[in-house]
This record gives sequence, structure tokens and C-alpha cells, in this order.
Amino acid sequence: MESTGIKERAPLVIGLAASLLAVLYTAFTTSRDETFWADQFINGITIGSLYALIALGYTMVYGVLRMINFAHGEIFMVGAFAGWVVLREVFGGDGMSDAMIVPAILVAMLAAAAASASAIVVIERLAYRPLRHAPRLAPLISAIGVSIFLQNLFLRLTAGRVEIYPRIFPQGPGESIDIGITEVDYIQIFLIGSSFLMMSALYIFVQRTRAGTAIRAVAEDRDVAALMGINANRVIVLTFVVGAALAGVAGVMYGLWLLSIKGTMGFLPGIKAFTAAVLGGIGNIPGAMLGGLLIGLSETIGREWLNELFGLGLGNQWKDVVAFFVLIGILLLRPTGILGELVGKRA
Amino acid sequence: MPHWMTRHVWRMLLVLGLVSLLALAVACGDDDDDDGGDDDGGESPAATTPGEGGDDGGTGENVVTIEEGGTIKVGVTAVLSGDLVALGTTVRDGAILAAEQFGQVEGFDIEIVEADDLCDASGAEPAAQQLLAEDGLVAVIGSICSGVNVTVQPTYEEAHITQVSSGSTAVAVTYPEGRDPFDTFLRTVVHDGVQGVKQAEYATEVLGATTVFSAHDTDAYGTGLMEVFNENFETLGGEVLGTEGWEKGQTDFSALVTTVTTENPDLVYVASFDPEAAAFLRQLRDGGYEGDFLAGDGVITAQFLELAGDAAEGAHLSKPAPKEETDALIAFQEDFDAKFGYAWDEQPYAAESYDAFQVIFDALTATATLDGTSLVIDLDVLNDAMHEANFDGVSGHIEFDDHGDVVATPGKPQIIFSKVEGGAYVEQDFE
Repeated sequence: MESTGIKERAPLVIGLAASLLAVLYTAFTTSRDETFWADQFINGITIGSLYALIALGYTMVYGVLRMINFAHGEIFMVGAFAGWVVLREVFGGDGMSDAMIVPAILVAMLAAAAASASAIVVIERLAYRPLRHAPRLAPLISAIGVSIFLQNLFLRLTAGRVEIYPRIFPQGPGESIDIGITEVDYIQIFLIGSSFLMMSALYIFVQRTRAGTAIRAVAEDRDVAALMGINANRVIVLTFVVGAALAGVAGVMYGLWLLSIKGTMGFLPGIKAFTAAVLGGIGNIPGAMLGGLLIGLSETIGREWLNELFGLGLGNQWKDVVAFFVLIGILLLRPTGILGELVGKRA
Repeated sequence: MPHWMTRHVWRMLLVLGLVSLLALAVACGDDDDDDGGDDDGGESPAATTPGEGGDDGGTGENVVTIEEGGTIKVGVTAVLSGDLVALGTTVRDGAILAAEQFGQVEGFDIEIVEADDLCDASGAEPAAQQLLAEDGLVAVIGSICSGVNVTVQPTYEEAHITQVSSGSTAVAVTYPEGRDPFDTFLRTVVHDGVQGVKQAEYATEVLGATTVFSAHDTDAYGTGLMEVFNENFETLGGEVLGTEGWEKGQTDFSALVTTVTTENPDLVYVASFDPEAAAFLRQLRDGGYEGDFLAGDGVITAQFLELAGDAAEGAHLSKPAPKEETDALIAFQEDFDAKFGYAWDEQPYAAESYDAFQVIFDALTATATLDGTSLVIDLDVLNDAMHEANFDGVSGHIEFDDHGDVVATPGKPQIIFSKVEGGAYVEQDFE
């Protein structure tokens, strides 16, 4: 991947640093107290780490295939449903004993990862591989088709109803840790912690293992990698599987946190995660993580910060506007995203 | 100046331009909202409608002829998939029961044809087109979603097809901005000008709230109801600490919860539908909010209790609904529960929907004429006859004013309030 000089990134770094300083400044000069800002910051990091986890699937597949897998949000949804079935059918749902909660969550996550991975293997074989050498738009449209199909399949299976996760994760007043400036809920710590754990694991996997090296090689040049004895098809499937497994686990975490799941639940997080991947520089793994956090922060603390700074009345309904606004702003400054490579010469 | 700086100056300017554009959009948006609130807030409708029979021409032009052996079709546009499916199904079933019980017109069967409007603007027009493509369509039981109705009212007006809605409560639906009310729209439910006022009275008198944080769906229903409530709450001496909205489908309310708990109001008020309200309330209680919660007719469903779980306990909800246990209502309840296997009042508007069908049926009976073996229905004459409806239905007395709104029955409460106790809705005494 092309490394870019510090001069290229200077305006962006200055912009981000200025925003951060402005946020810090407003945090101590406004009517809102620091607890409010700390809470919003944690809210942003929580949803942001979920976006980041989903965004990795978009960015890895793009890196290897130059294709946007628009069905990725539905892979996330499949994982959420798989975890829900396991928690309810195998572990008895709300009725499970306290001792079973930790193993139940772990098994649900593994099952979700397996279900999402299996789903993407089938989808890749049936809907993407036959179009590998077709014009670039063809697999994109195919992915949109898969997305619509999966949404409607699950709406059909659930009769269009919202299903509810067992409320096994301790949530509610008092289920939090005091960190001085504010209290952080256990569920938020769990979400942020496991997301970062998985992202670090992924980074090590891609950078340090043979399989990871193969992924990077195929991303750089599929044909040359094939000449070096790498089975490109297997690497492509592996890339899909890793991204899908992360999305599946994210689905379970989403369910444990927000409880309501349904067939269309993957659409909005999917779009947000895609935005995060583009923002961070699509094809770049640390970029997806950074992008996810930035989108999460934009729609929570960023919105409140705009309100304070410009005296705007941007309510909750403006959160998507602010998030996409940040995307446009950053793409104007840096069309390839924050950490994006300069793909111009390859296209 | 370093090289990169000159290169990026114009881009910086573009970003600045975008910021000011956003600021401008927000400023303008706010102004519009305020104006809208003032205009719509009024409770007493002003008589500015064209009188009945004043349709544009319309003799002989808009006639539906049904050959022998054909059926008269009455459309139902409702939300029949997704989160709000229970609301839509209830309304449809009310109409189906009515069609079964009222029987034939001049020996012709009435068939209910249904279309799924998704309860949003994107599904509204396709559902309308689907119904209008039906041969023999004479009238439609309108959507319960005001966001749908404001989109398709012009379509139905152009087709001379009259909608009778059983649950669309936004004021703007019968008081459209900048034009006369649609002749082709009637509703058998009282509008939010009534519900919002009653809610504000309930909030101050029963709950004793002096401060409120309002949250709402950004569609016509949620925005309209919230505006009426906020305005009346302030009139009664209360203070609105903040008003924020959401789009249907939002699930993570943590940022909003932080804002609300920071403001710490006496009451959190919600004008939206049940999935978002339930998730919001649950996260609000998890976030430590201990004050009161009040919401309207989009939330008072069986699904709300299921989705919100323990968090629903102590919540206050209102709906426009019948309260008088007339013989007709009791018979309707028994028939409905027996036929469909769920309680008629799990969701609002089953009774209003039954009455909406009767409005259409009575008008058909009065105006449809036989021409040889065919049945002839003049849509404009039918429309006039529907405006003249005057009967005691299962949901109360049905008679329409100049805007197409059902006229209040003297002495009958129009809005009822319930409190969630022990996982069930318990009606409260408040008039």
C-alpha cells in the first residue's frame, strides 16, 4: 500500500486536532457540565466501535476485490438472529441461571460468527464468484439484490415482527462503573472492550500470519499473488469469512445491548459502517476502525458540539445529517479518506 | 505559504460553505416549525370549505360501472408489514368484519382489497396506485398514518376516490397548509388538536408536571401531535426543556437519553409509534430516569408492553377511543374477538375502522343505481353522500364537519387515558 507523506495529511491532521481542541474547549465553557460531555463521548465510542467492527468487513472485501459488499449489513443481521436463537433455544433465554450467562454469551457469539460466515460463503459462491470478471457494477448490483433478499427472507421468517433478545446482560441504574467524571455502563465497557479486542486480533492476523500475508498479497495484486502460488479464490473466501464473522459477533453485541432485532435492522448500521469505511479510507483496516469511531462520535458529541459552537438546535433527528456531513467534509479535504491509499493510478 | 496550503485553501472554503449552509437550513427549519405550530394549534375549525356539492363539474365523468357478477371494491390502505403490522392489521380486520356484516348493495358483493403503505411516504404512493388500478374501486379506508395521507391526498382527489381514515390523527391532514381541505378525505377519529390539548391538561393536572422534554417521530403525525402538546403545555404554565425527533427505525437512543437525563424533566412526552417509543423508554429507565412518561395513540398497543417490558410500568398513554359501552360496541367486541382471535382493543382503531366502512356502505346504498343488470356508482355523488353521514356507529356518533373531521359527540369523552399497571393498560378517570 502506498504510504503518503506527512505533508499530504497536514491539513487533515490540523483539522482533526482543531476539532478536538474545540470540543475540549466547549466542554468546559458551556452550560452543560463535563459529565454530559463525558457521557456523550462514551455513547459515541460505544456505537462507533460497533460501526468499526462492521466496517472492517466492507473495507477488507474492498481491499481484496475492489467490490462493495452491500449485503454486509444483512450478514450482521443474520449473526444477531443466530445468537438470539442460541440464547433462547439452547440456554433457555431469560430463565438462564447467572452462572450460565458468560458461557451463553460466548457460545452465542461463536454461533453468530459461524452463521454469518456460512451465509457469506454461500452468497459468495452463488452471487459474487460467477460475476468475478464481469464489469465492476455487476457484483455491486448482485450484492444489493442479496441484501434485499435476506431482509425480506427474515421479515418473512419473523412475520415482520420485532424479536427481543433475552435480557441477560446486567443493564439499568447502578449497573455501571464510576470513573470519576461519570459512570460507564457495564454493557458499554463490554461493547468497547470486545470490539477493540477483536480489532486488535484482526490486525495481528492480517499483519503477522501467513494467511494474513496472503490476504495482503492478493489485495496488492491478485494475478501476481496467484503466480506466487497463492490460491486467490481461497484467499477471497477467507477475507469474506473473516469480515462476516466480525459482523456476526457485532450482531450479538447489538442484540445484547439494544434488545430489539428485526429483518431490516442491518440496513442503517450497514450504511453507517460503509460510511465509516469510506471515511477512514476504504481498503485500509486501521482506517475502518478510525472511521467507525469518528462517525459514532460525530452523531453524538459532534452534534452537541455544533449546537454549542454555532448556537444551532440540532436535535437527535439530525444525527445522520451530521455524520454524513462529516463524511463530505473529510472527503473534500482528502478524497481517498483519512488513511486511504491513492488509488488513482490503479483504477 | 507551503505548497499544500494553497492547494487546500479552496477545499477549506468549501467545508466552511457547507457549515454555513447547514446552519442556514437549521435556522430556516426552526422558523417554519414555529409558524406551523401557531397555525395548526387551533382547536375550533374555521369554516372555509367549499359547500357540499361544489365539486368541479363531475356529472357523468367519474362513474364506476360494475357488470353483473362483478364485485364492488373497497380499498384498505394500511401498514401490513414491518414493525407496525399489528396496527395496520387491526384496522384492516375492522373493515373486513364490517364488510362481512353489512352484506350486499343492490345484490352486488363488496370485496375488500388491501395495499401495504408501510406507514411512510415511500410506500404511500405505490399503495395508492395499486388500489386505484383495481377495477370497480369506489372508496378507500384511508391509512392510519398521517405521513402517508399527506402524500397521497392529491392522488385520490384527482381520481375522485374518497378516503375514510380511521386512525390518521395529525391536524395537517384535514387542515392542509395553503389550500382548502380535501373533499375526498374524511376521518372517523378525532384529530390531534383534541388529543394534544387533553394530553397537556393531563400532564399538568394529573401528573403535576411543570417541566417536560418532548420527543417525536419526524413524520406528519409525530411532529403535529408534539406541536399541539408543547404549545398547550406552555399555555398551561409548563416549561418545555427540549424537543428532539427521530426517524422510524432508530434503535440506539443513548445520546438522546443523556440529553434528557441531563435536563432532568418532570415528564418525558413522546409522539411516535410503539417500536421507537418502547426502545427509548427502556433505555431511558436504564439510564436512571425516574420521572413520568406520557405518549399518545401510536404507542398504546400490545406490542409496546411486550417491547418495553418492565420499563413500561407506570407509563401513561392516551388514545381517541370509544368509552360508552353501547350494545353496538359490545356486539362488535364479541364478533371481532371471535373472528380474529385477538382482542379488538390490543391496538386502537378497530371500531373506528368498522364505522369508516359503514360511512362508505351507507353512501353506496343511498346512491348506487341499477342500470339494467349493471350497477352504476357516480363517485362525486357518492362523495357527497359520505359527507352527509349521520349515524350512531360502534365508536360513537358519526357526522362530519366541513373539514371532514368527525364531529364531537356532546357529553362523550374523546380521549381516554390509561396507565400501565402490572403489565396491562388500566383506564384512568380523566375527562
